[in-house]
Amino acid sequence: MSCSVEEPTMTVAEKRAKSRAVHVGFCCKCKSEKSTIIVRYAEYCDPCFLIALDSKFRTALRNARPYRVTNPENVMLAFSGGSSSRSLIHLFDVFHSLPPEVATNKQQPKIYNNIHVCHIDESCLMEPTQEQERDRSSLTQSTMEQARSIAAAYGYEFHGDQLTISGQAPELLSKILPLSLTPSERTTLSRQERIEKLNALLRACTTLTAKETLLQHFRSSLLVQLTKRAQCTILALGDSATRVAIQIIGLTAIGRGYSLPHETSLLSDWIQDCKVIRPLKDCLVKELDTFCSLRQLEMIEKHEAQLDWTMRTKAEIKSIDRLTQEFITGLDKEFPSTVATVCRTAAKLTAPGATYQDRCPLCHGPVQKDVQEWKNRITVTTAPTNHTVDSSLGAAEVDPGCCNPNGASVCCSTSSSNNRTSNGPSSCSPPQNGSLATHGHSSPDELPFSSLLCYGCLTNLRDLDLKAMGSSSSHHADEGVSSFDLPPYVAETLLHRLGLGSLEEYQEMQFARDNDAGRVAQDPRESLREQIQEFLIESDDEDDDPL
Amino acid sequence: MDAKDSLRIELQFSGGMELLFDNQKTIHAKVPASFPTESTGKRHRTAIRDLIGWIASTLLKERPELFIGADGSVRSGILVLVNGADWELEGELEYELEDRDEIVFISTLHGG
Repeated sequence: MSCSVEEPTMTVAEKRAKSRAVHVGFCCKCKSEKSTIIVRYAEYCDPCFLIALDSKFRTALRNARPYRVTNPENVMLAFSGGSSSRSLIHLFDVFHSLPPEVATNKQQPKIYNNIHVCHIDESCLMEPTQEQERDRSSLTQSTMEQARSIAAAYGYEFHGDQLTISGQAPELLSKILPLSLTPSERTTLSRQERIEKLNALLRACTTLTAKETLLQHFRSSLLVQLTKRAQCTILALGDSATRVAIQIIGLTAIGRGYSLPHETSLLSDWIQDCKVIRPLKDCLVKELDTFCSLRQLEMIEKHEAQLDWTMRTKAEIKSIDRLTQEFITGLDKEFPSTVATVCRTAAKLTAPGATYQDRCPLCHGPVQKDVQEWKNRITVTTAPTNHTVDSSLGAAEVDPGCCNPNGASVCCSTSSSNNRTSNGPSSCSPPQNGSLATHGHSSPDELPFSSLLCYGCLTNLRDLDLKAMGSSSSHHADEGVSSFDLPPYVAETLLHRLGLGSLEEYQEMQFARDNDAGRVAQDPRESLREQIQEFLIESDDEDDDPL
Repeated sequence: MDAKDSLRIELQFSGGMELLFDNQKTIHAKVPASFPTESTGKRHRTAIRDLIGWIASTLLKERPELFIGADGSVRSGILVLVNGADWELEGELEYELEDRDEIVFISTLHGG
């Protein structure tokens, strides 16, 4: 990737860097050793590079959280298995292992109390290769044990397996798979069934972008869950500068600009009781890769399902994230300041004034008001199925771009797939609700889902093809029984935002409402009377008169 | 192939690169010591540019586009170390290979 216009600032930086180096080819710090690594025009030798990286990490950590603390907090390191999070563990260890003279000084409190490491095993999402098919023994290679041994080498407490119900399968993702239908059913679902459900959901994504985004939401929600469960108040992510720059561009492209400050800043206190820090935010992925190879840190090769998907997909570029990655790394090759420029620019963004109570059920990000309405105004989409839907509702036929009058349900302009999506959470609600939903109208009896989503999630869910999941979405009335399974945390957040304590409470509310509805149905005149009560003129006296 | 005509090169792949090479982390390869220059047909000493093309045509198992870029270089985001030093310091594509050189390819394909 090349730019025809030479950026004058680049050449200035280059010149300056060159004049700074006493001898070209020698380390810019010690100036005596031959340089072995080049980071943004600055050449380092191995020892100086390690010192520079370590101090960079310490600076970031201090900026994220002041050293002067009264009570030390527990920190959770999110470890995926890649070079960035692997470096994070090692750098944290170097930082935390104080020299003995400092450690014995009681006046100096520890900055972090306990360090925990967690890992999310995504191996269940990886499709077996042909060789693995032949050799069944290597089929289910879990990355958990590898992660555990790496954490154990540092003496850190390891998390990841505690969440499983069976206790045998350290499969974290499976925890979030099923949406509890009823409390009894929650425990009976086997791990295989959960994996199947997650796979079904991801298969329903028609684009790789939607798939990756959805998985990312699940992943981050799990990390927060794990952090809270382990009594940690800080979650440290290994996002490198390169990664953050890619996310800044990528997330903006998929409509998640509103939550961008939370997802890319050095310190985010958006999530209640769980600060998220990114201490490697100033380090290029190149630096971290070099660090790992210099320190000979053990990594998990096939740690991300995304990586696996990339390997499997035959097309060259498949998702917005991948495209952005190509763009950033390609540009960075010729203009090594690209990543830093993007990061610096986005670091100026301030977090929106939304409250955590009103978070998006799916991604737990901030939600802007009237997302749906705004989307309707800017979107010009007419899906072929619109007319049938509209006519069945008996409204909005005149203007296909306008909003579905059925309050909680989704607008008609965002295609029928979205309508199905709005019915999705029928499985959030207990199965009885599924039967309730066969009223003919879209979803007055279900948890309002799409109306509570943030813009990014709403847009993303449009790429979900629920037909692929075998849901009976052909007929409008049947949609209530579609199997749109989401992790339990989505339902929990939904209930929380509706101000309800439990699913049962919601059921009761629905039941009561249904009873009302039943009465109404029995006596339509009565219901009409109720509705126009205020306008009725009391005529008891007059009634008597003619008789 | 005569010893003089080939170079013993140790190739290392990590960070996901090994998936492209049948999960081999280290490959001891015998690389031709010279390649014909495209324009003149005269043979020149093997440079990294030639090595990359050679790897792509002989060793690569799948998805060459994940390894080799449009300009005959490696794909952007792949870190190359020549004997432990960044290849940018060694002349990048023009670095001429020596016998027993160690070339490391690290992919930065992964996320956080």
